[in-house]
Amino acid sequence: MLKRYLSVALNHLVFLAIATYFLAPLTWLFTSAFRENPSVWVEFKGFTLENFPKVFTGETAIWVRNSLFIALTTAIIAIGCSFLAAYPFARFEFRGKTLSLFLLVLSMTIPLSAVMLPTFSLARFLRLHNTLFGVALVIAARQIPMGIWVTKEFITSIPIELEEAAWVDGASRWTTIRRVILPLCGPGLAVIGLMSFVAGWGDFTTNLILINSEKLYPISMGLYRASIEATSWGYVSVDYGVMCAIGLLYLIPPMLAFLFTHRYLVKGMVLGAVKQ
Amino acid sequence: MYRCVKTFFLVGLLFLGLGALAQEQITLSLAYPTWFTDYPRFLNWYIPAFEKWMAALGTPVKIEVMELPAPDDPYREATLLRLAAGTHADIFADDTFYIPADALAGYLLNLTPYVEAWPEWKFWVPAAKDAITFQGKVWGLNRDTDVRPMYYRKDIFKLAGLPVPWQPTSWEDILEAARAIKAKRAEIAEEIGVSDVIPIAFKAGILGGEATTMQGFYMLLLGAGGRLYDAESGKWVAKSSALLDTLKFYHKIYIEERLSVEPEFWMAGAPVDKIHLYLSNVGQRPKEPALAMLVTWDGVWYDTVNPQHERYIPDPPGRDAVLAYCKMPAKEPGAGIRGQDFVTISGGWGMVINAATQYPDIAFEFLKFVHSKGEMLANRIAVPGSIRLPARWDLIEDPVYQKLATSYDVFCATELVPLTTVRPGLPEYPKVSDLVQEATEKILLGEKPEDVLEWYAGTLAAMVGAENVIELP
Amino acid sequence: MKKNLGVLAILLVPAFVLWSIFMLGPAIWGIRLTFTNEALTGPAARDPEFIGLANYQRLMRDPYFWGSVYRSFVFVLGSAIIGQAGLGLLLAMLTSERRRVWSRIRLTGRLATTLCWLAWVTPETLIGWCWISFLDYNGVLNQTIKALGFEPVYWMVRYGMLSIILANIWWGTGWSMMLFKAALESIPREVEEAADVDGASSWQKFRYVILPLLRRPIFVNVLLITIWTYGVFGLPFMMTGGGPGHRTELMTIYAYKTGFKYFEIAYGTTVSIGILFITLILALVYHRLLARKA
Repeated sequence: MLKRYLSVALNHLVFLAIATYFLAPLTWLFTSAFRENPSVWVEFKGFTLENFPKVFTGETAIWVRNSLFIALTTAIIAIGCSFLAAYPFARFEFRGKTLSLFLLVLSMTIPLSAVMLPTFSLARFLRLHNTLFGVALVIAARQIPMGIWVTKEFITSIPIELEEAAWVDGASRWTTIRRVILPLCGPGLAVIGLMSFVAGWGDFTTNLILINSEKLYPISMGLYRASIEATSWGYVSVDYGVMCAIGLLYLIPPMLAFLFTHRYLVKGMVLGAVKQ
Repeated sequence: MYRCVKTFFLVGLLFLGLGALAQEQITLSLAYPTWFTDYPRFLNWYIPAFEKWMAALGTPVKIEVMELPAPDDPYREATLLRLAAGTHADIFADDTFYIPADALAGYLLNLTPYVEAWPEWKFWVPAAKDAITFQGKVWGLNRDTDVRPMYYRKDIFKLAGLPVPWQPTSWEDILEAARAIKAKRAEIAEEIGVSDVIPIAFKAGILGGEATTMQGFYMLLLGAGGRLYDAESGKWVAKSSALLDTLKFYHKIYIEERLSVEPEFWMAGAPVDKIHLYLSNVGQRPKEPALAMLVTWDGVWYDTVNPQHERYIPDPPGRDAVLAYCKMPAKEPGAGIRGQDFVTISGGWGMVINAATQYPDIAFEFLKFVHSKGEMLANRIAVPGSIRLPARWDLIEDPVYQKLATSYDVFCATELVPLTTVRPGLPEYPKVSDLVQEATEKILLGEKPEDVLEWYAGTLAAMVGAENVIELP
Repeated sequence: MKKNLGVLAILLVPAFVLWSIFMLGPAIWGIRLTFTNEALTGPAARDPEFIGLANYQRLMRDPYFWGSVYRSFVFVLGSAIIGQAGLGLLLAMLTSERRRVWSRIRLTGRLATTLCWLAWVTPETLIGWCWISFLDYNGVLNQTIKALGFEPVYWMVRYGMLSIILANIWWGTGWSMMLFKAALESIPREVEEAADVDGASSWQKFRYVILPLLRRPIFVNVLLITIWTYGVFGLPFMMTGGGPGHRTELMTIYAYKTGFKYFEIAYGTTVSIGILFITLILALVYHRLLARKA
């Protein structure tokens, strides 16, 4: 009996310790977002919601706009390219298919920071440097391998009979893709779209190397700059309230996105790493 | 047939006329740091005035402003990227620190023929000239230069029983004052209303950036009679007693006698900003300490009376009651470079012309305009705190300027400028500077000065090539 | 309908073009760059030239590079292999719904896993922002310490490596936890029940039944997060920037600094090749493992 109590107590302790570890760094963020012009000290007085509207006026509004642009553009490009390319991989056999798949998946594991500088050099060469569109292209390119893989699985699971029925009715290959495959891929494309959106929304490194103009800063660069300008957490040269508010808002889209794609992610993990 | 020819002829004339008109519009672009206090003046005065003047002369010119990010590092990166891509402005501001590297890269227009044909060039002060000269050629123009005094807190000194006004004549004087303050730090802190009193600080560490090298390390090194680069032999100095003395001084105040902030202070957050806030803390930030002595650049004197600035010293008591300045002494009288008793160093920004510009002559006209005595004086009046140390001595001697000059400006111009020198105008300098910053950081981390000097010598040789270093006594 | 090569090509083109330019392209361009001395300023900016293997020779002799290799290794060992995988496994195991005590500890268990997951979805710079505010000299941790009567510490200075490791564990554990949870759930109940019937204690069950079945997922996941962690840049860069000195300068940070502080594009790329090399080898091993059906 005692052993049972001890066991339960120990479990609680461990969980609380872990929970504290994960909660602690967030405390100042949560408390400061709701205080007006807060200081570095964690205090609990003066609740206000004023910081949130302030996020959408002035400098930080530009950040939000840029982040949205990058994220949406990334998602659109990623969905488009992945969907189109996934069809041949799913339906056709062609020379170099296995090799391509292998290269795609291999490239997925190479981190961006290993090719930071050449990407920068290349983007300059293509005049995509210091453009939001360029950033979106780079991020989208990195989403494509997974996008193709996911969509490929989806398309493979669509019975070929459906397409054949459409062909019999005289539809061209392209119409079939548009009218039959695309709608059925909806969920898969949604997943890719969400994950690409999150990738574009949260990206820092690509923006750091490609963006050089304050008007084009997304939220990630804004927070980074603020952390440098804040004359070390002690002096208010940066409005911490607004920064923390924008931090909280920054957190929400990825959180929502992962709530929706969570199940799919786990399924992918099971298929990928776990299946024996 | 004749009618055809006539129409052709008329149309041709028309096109020629239009073409001539179109050719009239000359456009130049200008990039100027947006965070400089006189940036609005460029937008509101210099550009419109210059455009009007050129139009009156018969060659209408339009100057467009190219906005670059702020502050220094992003500005530098943007500048380099555009220069490399060939899309940068015709005229731009460059920290004189970067002129050697940029000149070697072929980015800058050689202005030597232009300045030599300019009668006003002879008014340039040697220290200012040095900052924009590299390999014997002139690469830009500068309007002012800056110097570094030592600031000290009169209120803290009085409470510590030290003489005010104060002018130390050796490093030992400084150390004694620091010790006296340290002994009474708790009482003084309570009296003033701050959390603690820090006797002295010399900028150190990598986070301090160039400030560490210029306002910390160099001020001591020059006072010990040493330099980072030996012009005579044309080599970088890997070892010298002056270098060792400087490292030892850092070791003394940060480790041995602990007369300053915690060594780790310089490795976190924004230490340079913080240290200035300590210097200007008269109790308005009671949870923060106050700093009694600091070598920093002359602009701080004006920041402390600017209510918008974070370094503002509120009135009461007001800057003049608590803050004072003096010359930074050499290690001992006569031990400084050139046998000087006191030392300082200058830096500053200049305006340069893009080598790829299509209109070098007009660009230089613009520079001449901005750097003329009348315009510089007007700038001084219109933008308080600007052009405090003019690069031209005809302006320094001008009665109107002298009337405007505060005693501080006079002090800087007459007592510090004659002592000053500049950093080595070489492309490797930024990297050597980083090495110096790292050396100070090693001292902060507790390494022995001799070991750090060994490391410095070795790494420097590896960096610039063993044949380019020299060891001096 | 017969396969139309034209259709095939058109469909593949957008993705292929984008991927080649921005994923394959930089790798190839990068390798070409390493044989030049391209820089943004200085004499090389005027006339970049081919310098053969000089960059690589310099890399071999560069103490800062080898230091960064070591530091990246320590970072990966601490934050990925031990940290994320370890903590993730621990959390997955402790919150397994099959445990007898689960009904009693459900609340705190869910709390821990939810917070863990929340940390994982947090964007990178926000994590930096939060951790800086936590570890700064005037930050939350020191405030707590001062309130308890102790002396505050410059955490990110004195314990730089530990700070970034802890922050990275905070960030990445969610992934490992979810993966191991999925792995645990895929173990057939009968196997566990059989062990229970045989009278095995929790520990014995873990060691002799569960662990062997988990071996492959653990190994595969560890390999994956190792590759990812080698590439981590933003978070440590934002927190310590490689400092103090070079103490937390990972390979990625060193590559960035060479390229963007000194503007030596070609040499910085050479440093990046080092990262590329390591991750490529690990990636090949990973894909070999995945392809091999047990």
